Amino acid sequence: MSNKIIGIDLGTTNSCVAVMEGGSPKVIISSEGRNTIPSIVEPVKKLVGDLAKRQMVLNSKNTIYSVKRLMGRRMDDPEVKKSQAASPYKIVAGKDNTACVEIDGKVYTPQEISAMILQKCKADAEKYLGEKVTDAVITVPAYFDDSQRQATKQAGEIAGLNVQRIVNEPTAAALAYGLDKKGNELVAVYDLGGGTFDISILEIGGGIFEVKSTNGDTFLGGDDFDQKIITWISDDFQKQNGVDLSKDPQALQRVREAAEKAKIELSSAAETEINLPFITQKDGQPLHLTKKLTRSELEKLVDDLIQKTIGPVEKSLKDAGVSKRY
Amino acid sequence: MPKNQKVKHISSNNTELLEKITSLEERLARSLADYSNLEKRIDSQRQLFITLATTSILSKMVEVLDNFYLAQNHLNDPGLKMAIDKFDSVLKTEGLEEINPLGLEFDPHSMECIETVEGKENFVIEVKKLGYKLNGHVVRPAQVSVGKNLPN
Repeated sequence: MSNKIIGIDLGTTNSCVAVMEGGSPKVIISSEGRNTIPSIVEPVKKLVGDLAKRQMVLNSKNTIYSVKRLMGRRMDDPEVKKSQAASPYKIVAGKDNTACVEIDGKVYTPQEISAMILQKCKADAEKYLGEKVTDAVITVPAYFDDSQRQATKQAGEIAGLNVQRIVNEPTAAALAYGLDKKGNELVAVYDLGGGTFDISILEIGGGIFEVKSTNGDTFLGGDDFDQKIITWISDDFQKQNGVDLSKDPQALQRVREAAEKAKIELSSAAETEINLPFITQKDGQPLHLTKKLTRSELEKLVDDLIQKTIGPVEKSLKDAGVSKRY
Repeated sequence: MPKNQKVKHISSNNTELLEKITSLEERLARSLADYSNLEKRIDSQRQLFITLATTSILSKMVEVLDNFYLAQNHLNDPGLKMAIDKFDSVLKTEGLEEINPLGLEFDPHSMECIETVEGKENFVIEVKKLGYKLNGHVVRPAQVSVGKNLPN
């Protein structure tokens, strides 16, 4: 019996599992019916993904998100210090001063936390395929060093997976677009994800992928774009109605969902309307939110975020010895 | 051909034919089994697709229904209530079940906590949005406020 190998994108904010079916990749639907799994874990209650996300507000000290930021790093790493400042959960030193998390007095390594995510990926894949899954390929950022790659492989092994390969994320992207079949290529992979931005310059030739340089911003992603829209909506509503929507969690949640939806719609439409009836009330009277957002307005709102990516792009081109052309 | 050679020839042909029949019968049985398995798999796949499609449409419908509930909270209109009840009963016919966990212990399998308020620790104090199940499978978790023994 040949075992299918699953491909896992173990992301900072979201993870994704896929399998080759009939020569093309098929994304596996999670047991919650979605095609991505939030990289969120509650190790005490053993909740992973959407289940962990749903109780995050209730249990913030015990719910670990973005553990990839700690993977294979030491406590004195500036990335770890940044995470410590931003996280409601405890980040502590483990063996050899490596960054770990502490919950209810127990210390977990990032490998153990990531293993729980990988375990869910494995379980959902087995349910979908109707057969046992033992082998996997996991992607990592191109800038991950040896200890970070080892930690990722370990996480896979803890999850009961035979990690056949650790593949660089930009390489996987280039492969997915068939760029290895186009002869010698110099490729820039601009990966603006949910929580992090990565730019990689790859040289592809004769089936070999060489990473010439990498750069990025580990605290810049799609979530920041959503936030720009949310702030724009709430500020306008405050001005028009004198009510601060951010004070109402249900209203804020609706605005957040609508903002993300609008952002996605504007990829294919030039404008979209945000309609939230009965968003809140003032003096006993219901208030409704109707706002039109055009693509050009969105581009204006997020311009400074886009500009933040230019610096790392220019640096990576320079480090790769490539001159930019405008 | 002399008579006993003819008999031997027919006899060995016979053995060959019998072997061939046995082999063909086995292959037929296997093919029929494969066919039956394929039918079952196609049927379960078709069911899966129907469920996925229905789930997708019903998820979108309940999102719209949320707005009517919000309207009703403010307006308290008997006509609007009738319209909402009609919508509800159609959804029920399609197999949709409401999840209303007011007063129950918080469970992330069927609920999403969007805020904590003062109240019985870990119990649902307010339901902001109803949840829905289709054939026992959670299509949309209920959105709730959960109690925490908050310090005064």
